[in-house]
Amino acid sequence: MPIILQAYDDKEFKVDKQTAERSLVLKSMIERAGDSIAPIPLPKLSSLVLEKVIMFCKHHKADQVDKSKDYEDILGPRKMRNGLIRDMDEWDKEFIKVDKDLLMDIVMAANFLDIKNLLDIGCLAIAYMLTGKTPEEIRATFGIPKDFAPGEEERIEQEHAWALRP
Amino acid sequence: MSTHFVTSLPPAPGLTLAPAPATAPLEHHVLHPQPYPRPNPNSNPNPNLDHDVQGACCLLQQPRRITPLDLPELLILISQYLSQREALVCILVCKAWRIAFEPVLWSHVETAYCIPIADMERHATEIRTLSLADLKMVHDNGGDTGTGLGDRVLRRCTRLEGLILWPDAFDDEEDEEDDDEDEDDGNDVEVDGNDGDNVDGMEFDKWESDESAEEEEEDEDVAVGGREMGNKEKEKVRRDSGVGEDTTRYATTSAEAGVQLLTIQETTAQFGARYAQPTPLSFGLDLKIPQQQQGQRLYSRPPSRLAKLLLRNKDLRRIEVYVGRKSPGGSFWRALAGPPPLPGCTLKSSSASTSASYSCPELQVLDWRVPRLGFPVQKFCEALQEGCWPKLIHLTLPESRLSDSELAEILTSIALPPASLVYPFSSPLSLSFSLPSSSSSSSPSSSCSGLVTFAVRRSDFGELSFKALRRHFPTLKYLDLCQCLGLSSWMAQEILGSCPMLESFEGYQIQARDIVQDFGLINSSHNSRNDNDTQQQQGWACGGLRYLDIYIAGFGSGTGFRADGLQMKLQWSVFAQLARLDKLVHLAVGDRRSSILGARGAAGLNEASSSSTLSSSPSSSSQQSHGSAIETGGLDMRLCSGLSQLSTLKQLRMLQFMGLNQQMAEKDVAWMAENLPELRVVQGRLHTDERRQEVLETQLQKSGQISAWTMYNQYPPCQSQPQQQ
Repeated sequence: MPIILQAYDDKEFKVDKQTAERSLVLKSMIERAGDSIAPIPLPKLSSLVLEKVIMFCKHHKADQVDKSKDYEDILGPRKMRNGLIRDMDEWDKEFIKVDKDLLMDIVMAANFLDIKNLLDIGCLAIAYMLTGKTPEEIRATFGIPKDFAPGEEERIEQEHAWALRP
Repeated sequence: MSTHFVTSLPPAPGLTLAPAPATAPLEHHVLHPQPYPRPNPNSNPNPNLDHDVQGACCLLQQPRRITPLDLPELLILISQYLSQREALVCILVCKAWRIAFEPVLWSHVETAYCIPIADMERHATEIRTLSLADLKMVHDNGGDTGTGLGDRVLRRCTRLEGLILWPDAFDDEEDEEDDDEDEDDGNDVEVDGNDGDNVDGMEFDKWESDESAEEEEEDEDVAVGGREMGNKEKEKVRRDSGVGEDTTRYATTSAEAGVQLLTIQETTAQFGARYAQPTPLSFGLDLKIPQQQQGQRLYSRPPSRLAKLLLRNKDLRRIEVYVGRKSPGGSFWRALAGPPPLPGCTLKSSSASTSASYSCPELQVLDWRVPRLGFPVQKFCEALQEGCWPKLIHLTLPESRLSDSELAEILTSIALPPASLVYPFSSPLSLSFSLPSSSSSSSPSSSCSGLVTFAVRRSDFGELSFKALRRHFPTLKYLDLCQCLGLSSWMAQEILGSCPMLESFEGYQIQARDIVQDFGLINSSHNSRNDNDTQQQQGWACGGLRYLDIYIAGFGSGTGFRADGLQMKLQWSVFAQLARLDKLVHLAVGDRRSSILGARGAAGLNEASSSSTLSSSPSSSSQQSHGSAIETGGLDMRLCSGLSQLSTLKQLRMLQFMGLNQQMAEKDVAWMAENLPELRVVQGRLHTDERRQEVLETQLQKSGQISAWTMYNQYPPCQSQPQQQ
């Protein structure tokens, strides 16, 4: 029985149960509703984003194990990143190559729908956007106001100067 | 895109995140469930309108949307993927980011960073991995009482997940004459440990040996285990260990050490009281304290700093100890292996659950490399059986210190995952310790997921430990038995044949014959070993192997390849076996010894003749596989010898075949460049002739961007000149 998901613009998507259950939120909704599940409104998601999310879930619907766990256990989170990148399959890499705004929306959707894998690769992609930028560039790119008191920035920088070691 | 803030929207989440209103963004979410202005359905008669256009429209009209960067929980998620340096940039973005990214910055701290102590203290609870290379830093800063600022840092570290102890700290301390004694007491954890250790009798004598570090330094070559330490040395240990030293220092220390220490002190007293009772009590490691050795001094000192650090950090998952001359000591060990020194100590973890009552219930990785010192095997095994570390699955033990039987004992003590109920007491050794069978089955071992990593390089790993290792075959992923001369060919073959999960294996050597006979490709006259054939007819079980480092030997003469029929058959069969490991990233099949020995060594190795070794029974040759009995002659890397089969290894990056005199030709090299797309490094000499070698190297570099490392394979410079002439 297909599940119907409604984007905020009332566009409807039919997905199979297995795909929908990649989202833990939808999964619990489906479990509660049983067979008689009504269309699920997702007013936070534009159809564009929802389509992407569904695409991801469909691709990963048969996934069994969570690979990142392994790396985290052995290497700790820092190195996990490398392991994750190395093992992130080509499909995921292509999938997440989207413009900044869409990426942000996808991550928000993954967070809202509780889709761990998607959240992981989304956050990884955002983290990548942050690398190699100066604080000023980051503020400009993401529209973040600078709210430090005068001199505070320098103080923080000084306090953490050790992190700049070669 | 320049984003404008609309005041009605998240009250500048950046500003609000700070202390309390972590709920603010969330609340916002709830109140404004539509991040986009919801279009009037009527105004959008064509729902099939291109998505992009729709999206673009939304972007144009909307007020500022919430992005993941506005939500602290997502910022923290993102921060996990950043390095320290990248996080440093992020904390300079705005206040909210500072809060989110600072933990990353502080998650890994090494004393070598020379961070001002006050800063460190402020952020101590954010430290997850602490690498202590320089205890002086944490020791000296507070004046002469021994409770410096650094101590305060250690005391505030309560959420550590990883602890790494380097030898330098201890070495440095010895340089300071005045502080030597004090630091031994405090940092080294040792002296107070000794107090307790004496109680335990023999076992901890090994630990005390750190006190006699100098002595050990002198006999560099003595590779005996601590167990064999002479009596004289033990005496010295006793004498030096400061057992009889005053307890006043303890008094001062404890007075200043604050709440944490008081807790321990309290319990120490309690413990002492307990021990005054006539019958020995039974918790954990301290169970077997002989009565006659109980004395006033017993536990008269608190656990040392590092021991206390362990006790405070219940979340420790990873402990690495690389200590050269001193051991981390007895009280450290007790803190690691035991229940908290005393039941009363568990003020925080009042829960009565078994795992909570041990000090490091979360421990997953134990990397214990204390090369010069002994390893408290008995204690360790008992702790394992007690279920002190129900989650321990990665184990690295010191090199060249443990005997075969000790390794076997340890391996037997490690809990199996619940699914496998096999507990084969195949090794006679397992009888030597009394394991209450109930404790192993009912203890928290049920949550154990099985041994994943086992590494004991250059150890005496042998038949006994191999038998004990068998029970872990189903779960083993990383096995490092590099240069374990006792690892015979048939053992390596059985490991490769029966560990389905294996991803990385470093061994010593494996005979082509053993590989091939189990593969069922060689005629039966050479097939004298039958015991494991049935399970291995299918070839190696480790289809997911990514890293293989083992000398594949037994192709006849060491220096040249003779293309007779049998050799050829062996070659092709072995390549066929290797070709099945299509996940391989690193393949090293060369002989490392001959690269060290150089030209003359290689010539010497030549002596073992192929015909004699082949006709001898494999089992006998495997038994005498120590040292010189290895059959020489490795894989010949030529297309005519079967190299082409390796075309399945599409992920291979590194190929090593050092120590062999290859006679490769252009076509072989061209084949490598063409068929192994990921190959970047070839380690090994391609041809004996210098000029040919150069030509081939250039060709490799040009056609496949593959660099050839011949260094380790080349004859040492002094000898290579005569060779050329």
